[in-house]
Amino acid sequence: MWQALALIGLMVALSVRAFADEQSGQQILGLSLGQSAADPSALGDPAAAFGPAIAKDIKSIAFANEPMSNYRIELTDSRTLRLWFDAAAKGRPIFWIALTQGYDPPPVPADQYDRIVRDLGNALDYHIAGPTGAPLGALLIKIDPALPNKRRAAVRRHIDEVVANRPNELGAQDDPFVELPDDIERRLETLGDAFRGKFVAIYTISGQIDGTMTELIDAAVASGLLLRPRK
Amino acid sequence: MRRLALACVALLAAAQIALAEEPRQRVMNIPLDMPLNEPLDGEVLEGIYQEKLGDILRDSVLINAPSPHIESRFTENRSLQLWFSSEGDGRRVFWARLTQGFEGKDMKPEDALANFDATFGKPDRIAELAGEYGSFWILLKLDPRLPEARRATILKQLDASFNPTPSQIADFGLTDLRTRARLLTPDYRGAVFFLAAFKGKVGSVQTDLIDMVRAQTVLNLTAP
Repeated sequence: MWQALALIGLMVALSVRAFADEQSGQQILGLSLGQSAADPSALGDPAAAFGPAIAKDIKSIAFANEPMSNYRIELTDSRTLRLWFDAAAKGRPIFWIALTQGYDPPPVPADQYDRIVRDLGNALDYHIAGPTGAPLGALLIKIDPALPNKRRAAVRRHIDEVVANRPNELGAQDDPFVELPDDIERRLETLGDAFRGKFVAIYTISGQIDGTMTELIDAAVASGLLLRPRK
Repeated sequence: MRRLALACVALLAAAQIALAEEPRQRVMNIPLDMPLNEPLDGEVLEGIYQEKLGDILRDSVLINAPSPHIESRFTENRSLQLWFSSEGDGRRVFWARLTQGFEGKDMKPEDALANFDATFGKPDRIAELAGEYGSFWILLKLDPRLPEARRATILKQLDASFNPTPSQIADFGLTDLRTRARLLTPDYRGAVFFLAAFKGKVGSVQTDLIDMVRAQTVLNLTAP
């Protein structure tokens, strides 16, 4: 009896750990979607406002409200962090976290690709290669594992359809994976309005990593705030 | 009777022409509705930058995230943002925001308020918070080119919506467009001026030209 209980306890502990590991992939520098953003009128203590992982590397912080509330935080090592949040909602929940990383300096770590995959929680949902010669080398996507199955299926359906409809011709400029669009409306045409999760766009020059764009986004919230109402 | 009706029609037509002939509200010479690429009243945006702003422009960049806008910096600590409507609406300026800091300068609030009057005319609505250390003003001036009926509707809506609390006045410079749409109404079109003064000196001034209707071609301003 005791052995059976111990075995169940071990299994529960392992599954909790696996879940925590999966969830840890859904963070950027310790920040998660839905977390409260710092109060713009109380930024005195950066560690309290943004967490220690960010505070230790901050070069500058700028708050802006155009067109919606966001922080732009310049970090060491050619990194820029952008946090978008709903200032009108209770708790100022973050709905979009974007970290861009340039290189040279700093030099690209030799195992950078493995690091990125590990940071995403390993088992990727998508590894989409950019067309030959395009700035986008690869787009790695990890859908939030905590999403309900129905929404998860809707996300997969949308991305599957976008991938299936890619043009076959070499060098086609209408391939949505030549470069990830900056414009949120076009970005969500690729990911879909139901998307919630993390992705890393790896930009390359001559086969070498030149920069990365790591984002966590809840597209349902982002599209509800940053895009005109859909009919 | 018929002559009276004709006279009324003629009067209305004249009033419409007069309204249309009112000069456009501008910040840094740029009016609302200015398209990103197409001309407006014989002017193009690039031409305004080159001919009217070239001498004071420091740098300017077109940014597509999260939606197309231009960020420019000028001499005298001025920065300008121009936000554009949807492609279907012709990528027209729906929001021009000029921000100017006055740190280290001796600008008095009365002078800044007089500048607003001289540029845009007497405000349609004013909200003011006078404190011991900090004082704040919000001035609204509707677009004088608005048809009289729409102008009357917006003014009536403002009577109900534009009643900011003291903290809403003090924090107005920090509020986003969705919060502003609640105060100004989703129909507002005109100038919005926010002035923050500390110990009798202007700290910063924010001058917006905004068309909330056009804004809603790219943003959801009425989300709950």
